[in-house]
Amino acid sequence: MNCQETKERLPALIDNELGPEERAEVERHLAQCEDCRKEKTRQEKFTTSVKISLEGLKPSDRFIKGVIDKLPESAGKEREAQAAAARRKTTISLIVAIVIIVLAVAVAVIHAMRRGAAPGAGGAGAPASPGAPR
Amino acid sequence: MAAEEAADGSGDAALVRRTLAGDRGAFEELIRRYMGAVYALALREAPAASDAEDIAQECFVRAFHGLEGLEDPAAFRGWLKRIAVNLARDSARSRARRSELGEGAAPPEGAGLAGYEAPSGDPSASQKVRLKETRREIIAAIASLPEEYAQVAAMKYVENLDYLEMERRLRISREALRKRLHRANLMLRRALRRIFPELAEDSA
Repeated sequence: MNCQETKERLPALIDNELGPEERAEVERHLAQCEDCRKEKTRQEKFTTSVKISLEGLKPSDRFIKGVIDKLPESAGKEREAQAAAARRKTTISLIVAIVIIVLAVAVAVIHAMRRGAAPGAGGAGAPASPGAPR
Repeated sequence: MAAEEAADGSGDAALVRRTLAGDRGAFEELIRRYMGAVYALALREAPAASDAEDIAQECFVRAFHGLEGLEDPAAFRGWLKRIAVNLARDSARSRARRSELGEGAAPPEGAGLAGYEAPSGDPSASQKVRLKETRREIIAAIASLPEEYAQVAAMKYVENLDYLEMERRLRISREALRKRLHRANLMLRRALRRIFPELAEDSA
């Protein structure tokens, strides 16, 4: 393994992300190359400094869900819910309207029946009434 | 960008097309791929992580709604970055306006990463200021890298992902990931030579 190949693998070595064989190869090279050893130290310090400096900054676990919840699928669900609510409202209005109409018709029918019955009753009583006292 | 396009439908352009065809999972993949870089861009401008997270989330929501207008699906990365930068700057401007009007205790512009306490111990006030400044510079350096390097640097240093997860999200080989991370590290060290002068030197 040459210097370039070694240096490319240094971040992975430091991050403990090299397989055992590659790690052994990198370490063999480092044992005999002072330049690469210095570079390893620099990269190590850099990685540690950056990681410590940015500790606790990562986005929350809810990040993706937070985006997905704002996308049209959920907006669609919202629209669906609104449509269902509107449908319910329409149905209730329709029922109320029907009830009002039925009541109005019923009142009208009763009224008409009373009006129809009143002259009849008066008619029956009217001819009788003049003669009744007599 | 297009040259890197994977042939198996996992490249950005394919994910964009799948999203447009109604595949929500494809858009989630795009979010996983870019959330770190977008979040770093937002952090560069926003004073607190919660603000930055809101900005970053809003960036993806806007991207989703504007996706049909993206003429070249392979240009998703640059397009997303522009949305993020514009959103973050708008947010910084409105914070500055609120601050001028004296509404709330908004920190001055450029006081990025406020609200973060030191991760450990009880450092002195000057140490806290220095830590905040270091964070601000590191975040700015990551956000300013060329997109593909900002992406891996954010995954590694901001999101703290391991290599397997980075490979999965980027759908690239371990070898390609290693090279990209190595390049990103070198660029970052150069960009941060003011705060880490002893680490800037490199020969690769």
